[in-house]
Amino acid sequence: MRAAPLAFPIMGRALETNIENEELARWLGHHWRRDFSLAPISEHRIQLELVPEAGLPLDLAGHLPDHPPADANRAASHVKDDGEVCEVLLGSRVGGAYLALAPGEAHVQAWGVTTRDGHGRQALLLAMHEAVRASGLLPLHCAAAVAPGEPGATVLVGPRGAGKSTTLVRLAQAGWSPLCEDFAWLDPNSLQLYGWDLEVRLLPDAVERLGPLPASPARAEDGRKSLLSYADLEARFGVPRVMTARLQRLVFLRRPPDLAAPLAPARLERASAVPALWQSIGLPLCSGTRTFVAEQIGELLRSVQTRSWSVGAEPLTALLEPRSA
Amino acid sequence: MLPNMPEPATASPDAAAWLQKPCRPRDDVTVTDLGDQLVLLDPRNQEMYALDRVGRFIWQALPTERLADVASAVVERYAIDPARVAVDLHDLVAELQSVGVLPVGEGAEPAG
Repeated sequence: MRAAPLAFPIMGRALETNIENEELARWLGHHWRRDFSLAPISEHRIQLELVPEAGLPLDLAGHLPDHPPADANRAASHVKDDGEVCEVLLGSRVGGAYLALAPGEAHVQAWGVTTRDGHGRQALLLAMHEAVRASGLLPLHCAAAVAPGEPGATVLVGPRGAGKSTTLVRLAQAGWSPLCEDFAWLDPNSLQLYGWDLEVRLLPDAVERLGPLPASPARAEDGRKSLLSYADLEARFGVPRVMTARLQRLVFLRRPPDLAAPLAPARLERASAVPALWQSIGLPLCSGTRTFVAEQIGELLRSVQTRSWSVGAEPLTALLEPRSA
Repeated sequence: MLPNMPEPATASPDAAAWLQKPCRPRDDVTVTDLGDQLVLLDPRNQEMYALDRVGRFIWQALPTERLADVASAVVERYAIDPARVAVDLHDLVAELQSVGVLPVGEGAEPAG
């Protein structure tokens, strides 16, 4: 008996595939399958098709390098990009993906992705990311949490090292429910956030700040950070994770080296928030999606409460509202 | 990134000729409009350029067959001295031209 090809919704977008390989299906599910069954149904469809490595038409294959590029995230060659239809090739002939975006649909063809550590999988992830983004969602590299008694989430954005993860732990300490530590999708129409990461990645000093934990945290792939489950965070602070919440406030974090105060609010220049949001969202591969993102950033900064927090070396919990009993 | 309007200065002898040039933003420049400001993103190098209120007005008046038409629109909209507008427009356009997001002259005619 053959298993049915893999298919599941991604935040209300239908994903259809021809994948029957169990390991590949698990891997794809790990990255893209989350239970957001209440997400509004979108007409946008994403089709993912595995093709033989030699299955690409020659005119497309001619755009591809023979060997995997050093940085799969940067290597992309555009076959077409007229603002409405966009076709992009990622990866190499050995393993890669072909992404075709058109209004209301995205088509991804992938090859060389059956090996677990193949470069083809990086290309496939990037193609899927762009496909989901083109469906009208914004990817946000951010930490987010819901304050006690507040109806929506506070989203923390800032460059690497600004203190997003550490601040999230401090907020959890103060009774805020975490939504994500590293990544969420945002529906800019409804302002609904979908927490996406599966665990919390923390630097050693942030782990120390947590105090005793139910289990020793595992090490992240980079070796520097520790991986903590959201259940561990809940066990330590009694704050359950929320998977989805409405965006209420955008906070731009910065960490000036000479700041002694724990947390100093500062006036936020909206024009300076634009680069910070672009950095958080990332630059789309296709011009039509870039235009969409630019419009949404402008709209977000006009309609959502924005703040700037400068995070110092001292814990900020004293400045936060105490947790309600 | 762009400075505030500079002090009025005497227009160069070439100013009149320059104002007759066409100007068209590069098609791939991505614009984030904040209502009273505007941020340009050059996707080739991910550099960004913030325009103030008047700069936003100028950008939104592009493309143009003649920069003089944009200068006239600024004079009419903000009631600024025309000579000063010419200088400020030149400075703004020259700066955006130097970073490659705003071609001026031959080949920069509005499409269509």
